[in-house]
Amino acid sequence: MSDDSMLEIYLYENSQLLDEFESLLLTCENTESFSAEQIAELFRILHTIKGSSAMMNFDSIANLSHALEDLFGYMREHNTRKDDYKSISALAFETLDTIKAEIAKIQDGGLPDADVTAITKRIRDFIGLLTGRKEPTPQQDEDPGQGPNGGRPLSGKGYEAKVTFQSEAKMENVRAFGIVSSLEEMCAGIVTDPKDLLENQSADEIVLNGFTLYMMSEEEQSTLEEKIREAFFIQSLDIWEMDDAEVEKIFGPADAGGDDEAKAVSRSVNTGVSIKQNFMSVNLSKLDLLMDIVGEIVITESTVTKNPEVLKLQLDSFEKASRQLRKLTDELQDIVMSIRMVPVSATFHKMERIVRDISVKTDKKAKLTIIGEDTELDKNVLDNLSDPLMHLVRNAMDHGLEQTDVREAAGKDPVGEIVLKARNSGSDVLITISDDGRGLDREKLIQKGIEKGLVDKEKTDITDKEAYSLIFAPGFSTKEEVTEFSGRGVGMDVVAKNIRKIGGSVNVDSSPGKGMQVTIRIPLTLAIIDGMLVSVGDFTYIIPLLSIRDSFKPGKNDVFKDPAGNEMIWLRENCYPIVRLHDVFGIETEVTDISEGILVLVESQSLTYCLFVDDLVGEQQTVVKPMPLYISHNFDTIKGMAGCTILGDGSISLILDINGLVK
Amino acid sequence: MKTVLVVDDAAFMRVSIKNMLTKNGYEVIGEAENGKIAIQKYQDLNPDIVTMDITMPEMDGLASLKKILEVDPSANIVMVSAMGQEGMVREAVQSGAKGFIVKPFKEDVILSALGNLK
Repeated sequence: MSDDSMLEIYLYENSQLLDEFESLLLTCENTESFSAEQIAELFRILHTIKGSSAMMNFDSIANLSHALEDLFGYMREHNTRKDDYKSISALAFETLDTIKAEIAKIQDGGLPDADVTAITKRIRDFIGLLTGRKEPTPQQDEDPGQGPNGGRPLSGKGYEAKVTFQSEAKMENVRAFGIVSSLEEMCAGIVTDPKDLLENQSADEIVLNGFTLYMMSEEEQSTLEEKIREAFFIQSLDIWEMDDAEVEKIFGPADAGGDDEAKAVSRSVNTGVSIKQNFMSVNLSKLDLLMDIVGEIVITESTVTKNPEVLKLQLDSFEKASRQLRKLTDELQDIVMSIRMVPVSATFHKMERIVRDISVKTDKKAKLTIIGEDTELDKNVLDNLSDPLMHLVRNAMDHGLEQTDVREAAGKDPVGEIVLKARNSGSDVLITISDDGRGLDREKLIQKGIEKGLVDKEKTDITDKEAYSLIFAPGFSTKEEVTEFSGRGVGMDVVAKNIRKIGGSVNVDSSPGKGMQVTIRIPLTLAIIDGMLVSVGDFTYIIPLLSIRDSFKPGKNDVFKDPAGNEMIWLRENCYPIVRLHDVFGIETEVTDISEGILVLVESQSLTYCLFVDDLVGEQQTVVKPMPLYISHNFDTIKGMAGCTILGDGSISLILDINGLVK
Repeated sequence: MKTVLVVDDAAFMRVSIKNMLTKNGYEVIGEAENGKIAIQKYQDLNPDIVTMDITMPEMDGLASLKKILEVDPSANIVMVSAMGQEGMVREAVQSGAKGFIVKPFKEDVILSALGNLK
């Protein structure tokens, strides 16, 4: 395996571990407690990160995680006072952020080269502070020292062995200890020099000079030597028989014999059941490729099965085979989709950190409630959703929630609540971010809208929804001052833009004094959508089925014109503007009379309107292809176009952007 | 060819060890991400050697070592430790681990250790 893929695994795994760590730490901070299990888990995560990072020679990360591991290691062994928790989590968060930044450097192809001495020193100092302040609880040191105890119950001959270890061995004293343990069964008595192998001083001495073993044993010298050589990383081993005087000096005068302990061991039979690894990680780019290919197959499938020449032949067997093919491609598509689906939980839990950070800095008390974190979304969609969500949560924290005293004065719970909720709704996923803050001020929004030239002065006919939607208009911001978190008014329109980019829509609702709610509706996946094929003149277009509310053949008398000359239609007590597609795109068509064509009622995020088309061709699953580079490079966006697709007959059709068709 | 079961909760470490060993004439016949799975896999696969991480979720390497040795006292288990785990390593060695290596280690270190096994 190449170094690159090792790095990939390293990055993948450690990013996950860091996320886990972060969410665990947040839980601890919120509950103001560190349970034994939580500490053990935090410790374990850091330990794993340390190990992998050290293997990769990422010293800064290894050092950081090591220092923090020691802190949690300390907490594991000792009770910490509650008033230390704040400092602990602050230190932990800071370290975590530094590690994340280092990981980001690696991801960007750089090296983690931050100077971490200051922060590790602070952690160590803090551990020092904790240690110094308290009586350390006794270490669990249950094993007795090795060496002669009492008289000399020894039989056999005395041997002396001098052992040194290779320089890369590490933990030499434990290795020495291991050798002693392995010899215990063979020897009636063992004495070592240095005496207590596990003391710190001994460790240093063993590294430098090795250690000496004095053994009383009935075994042959060669047997003992062989046993010692089983230990790893032995640099040198000299063993010889001691004379009686030496034996007496070490083990005391001769006495009675010792006893052996018998060990009964049994070996159980293999069960023959094998456990298979149920999960594996796959490079996302491979999944993208797979998705592309499946997309191509879907297109090719309809090119083949809907081939007009073949259809003319009316072959039963062909029909049957096509159906089977269709079924299989559907299944294939479903499976590929499901592979790409990931739960929103990780993305949602990231928001906890934002709430926490802003809450600390602005001194607003807030909690984040997460509902429906198991809801799944296409990985690409979810990745693109992370930033908009972050903005929305920031916005709710910053502008939505009031200061604690204001809330108390208004008789509200002093702790503000932000609810992040995801649920499935048909082929969409609905994500709502709601807060119980002050809500939007309709009049203020409209006022601002007029100032910015976004709203006509006759504001009487602006619906609440339209007023609230203003916050997503480019350059619109009701806050005069710019805060650290919410940025400068670019936020919300970028949010809306990004969500539209992934095929979603945003809606705002608000009730003054009670809070606001932003609803994001996103398709489960981007790559394949259900579309309605419509014809205009010689062209066909695809309207995403998601945007279509209704389609109907209008009567001549249903249509009227507003004072400005715009066509409108009354429908179920609502009045909708009509947009003639052939006018928008300048297409010549014979169908210009409203009563001859079809009206498709579509819902954009700001407006519900009727699209006038020649005819409906039919529903079709559509593989969304991005616009070719030479188009997308030269034009920022093409009005009314969301992308293109290839139809069953091989021709290209454009997918309409319902939001972009009207202003 | 000697067969090895690699036990570590970090996929990265499993892959690292696997790479080092497969390049040098060992066959990694199984991987386990915690001590519990390791016990099961040990019984299923009967490997010649086990490399055993210490700190793992569910069941740590120490407990797993003891269980495996209960089943097969002749098991060749090599602990993979990090600095700072002297106590655990000591217990492991006392309990019958054949030895240990300390992270971070290079290829020659793990080869030297495993080469020392009978």
